[in-house]
Amino acid sequence: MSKKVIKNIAGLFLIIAVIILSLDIHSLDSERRIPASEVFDVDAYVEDFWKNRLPGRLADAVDIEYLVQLLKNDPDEAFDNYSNKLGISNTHYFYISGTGKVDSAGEESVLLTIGDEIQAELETTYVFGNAIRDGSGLVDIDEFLNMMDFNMVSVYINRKAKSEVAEPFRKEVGPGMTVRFTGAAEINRLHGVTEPLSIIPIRISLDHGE
Amino acid sequence: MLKKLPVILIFTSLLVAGFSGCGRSSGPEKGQMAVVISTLNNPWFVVLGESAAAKARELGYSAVIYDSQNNSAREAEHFDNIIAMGYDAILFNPTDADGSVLNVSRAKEAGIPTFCMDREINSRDAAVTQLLSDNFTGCVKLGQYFVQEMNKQGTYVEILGLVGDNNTWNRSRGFHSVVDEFPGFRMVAQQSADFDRNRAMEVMESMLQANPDIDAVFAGNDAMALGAYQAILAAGKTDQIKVFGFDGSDDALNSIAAGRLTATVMQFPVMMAEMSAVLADEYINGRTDFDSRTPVEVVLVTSDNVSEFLD
Repeated sequence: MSKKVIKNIAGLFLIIAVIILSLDIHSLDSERRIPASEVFDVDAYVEDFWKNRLPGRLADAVDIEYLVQLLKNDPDEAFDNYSNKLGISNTHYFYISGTGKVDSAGEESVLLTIGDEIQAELETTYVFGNAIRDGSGLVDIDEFLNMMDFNMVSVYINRKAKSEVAEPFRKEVGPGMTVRFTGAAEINRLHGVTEPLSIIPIRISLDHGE
Repeated sequence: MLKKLPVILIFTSLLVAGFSGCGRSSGPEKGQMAVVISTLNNPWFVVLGESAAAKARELGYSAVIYDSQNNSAREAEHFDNIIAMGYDAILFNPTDADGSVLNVSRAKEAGIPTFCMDREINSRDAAVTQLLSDNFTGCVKLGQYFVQEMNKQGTYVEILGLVGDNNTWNRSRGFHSVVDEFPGFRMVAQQSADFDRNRAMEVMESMLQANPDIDAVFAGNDAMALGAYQAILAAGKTDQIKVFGFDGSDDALNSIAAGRLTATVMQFPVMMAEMSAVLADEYINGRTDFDSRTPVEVVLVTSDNVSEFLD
């Protein structure tokens, strides 16, 4: 191989190296241009919500037996007086409390019977959506620069509910135990209540029945 | 030249109206509303624009549709014309969450209220209000269905929309806020196809070459989902790969009913557009209490409930 060819190949490699080194490669996700996410401290916001603002709201949760009856007898009063919703939507969010006996404890949820006939499912895996955020009535969309920040509040609240409430509960719970719960549930106004009612637990106390 | 400026602007405006296929209504009018749409290349946005203009006319206004062609410079030109012509309100579907803020702020300074439809701008107070599909929550629901359909495991690819659009990231983040909680899933590729069907087909073709064994595709809108499906069909892998979209377009609904797409999320562009015109009318008539944003609920559509949405 002549010196000229070697020089040309070396030159080519040099040019390629310069091009590669001059490229600023970063992920598509980093291209999202949402400046508020860089300044909004969602961790601090949710910490304050969870510790300081939520407990007072939990005290106002409606009793599940009363609510289910009301939803059957006078759904408008139930939705108008005990639920919150966001924007233009048929999905309403309720804060609900009650005491029930565990029928079964699965990987994804715990099935309870409350009173003689009401069945509810406390979610332990699918802790998603806006039931806690929007059911609280404490998080105002106007506080946020964009929807992403507002939505991240739900994500962080749900993570907290899952790690601090749902997962410890799942490890401890078993059939026959008595559970006192407060949680958030979504009910579609058009479809009404469907049993078992799915509830995301926020506060749990267990009686092992010993 | 300056004396001729208004004539030139009026002529330009009518020309734009002519190009977009819509003109002003005849008869006595309460005022004029401009409908500025990010692109009329996508049927979904055509529905959005035409519904807004039709409702504005029904309310007694003249209405002109401006097509920004997904080009923020063209959008800025439209705002120049709209401000010069002294419109009473702008029903606006932005091209860029950040870049469009300046246009809306300029209109506000000129005393023209803007009402955003479907796409968000990153500002609390530039627009009077923003009517937005609750994309994030829709994709949380889609994500949960995805997890259940896939039995909590599998490899998948994601096709994103426009990277400068908040909807793209609200959908992606909503989906990942669920799916990423399940360690059995692995995303092997993520690429933008700009909400475009043909581009999505090309993207999917190259994704399939690099990742022939994927189990699912999450696309940020139905057009891209259908483009991806075409590539999957050509590769003979329709039995292997599930496709999930977003929008609730007629094509996607028919595709779900036929067992091709697995799921989509239904948005309501007509309602959003009409409500924007109504709110603009209320603002012009003196209403002042508006939330900065009004999310509009979206609905998960699968083979279980698709019949509710088909004509």
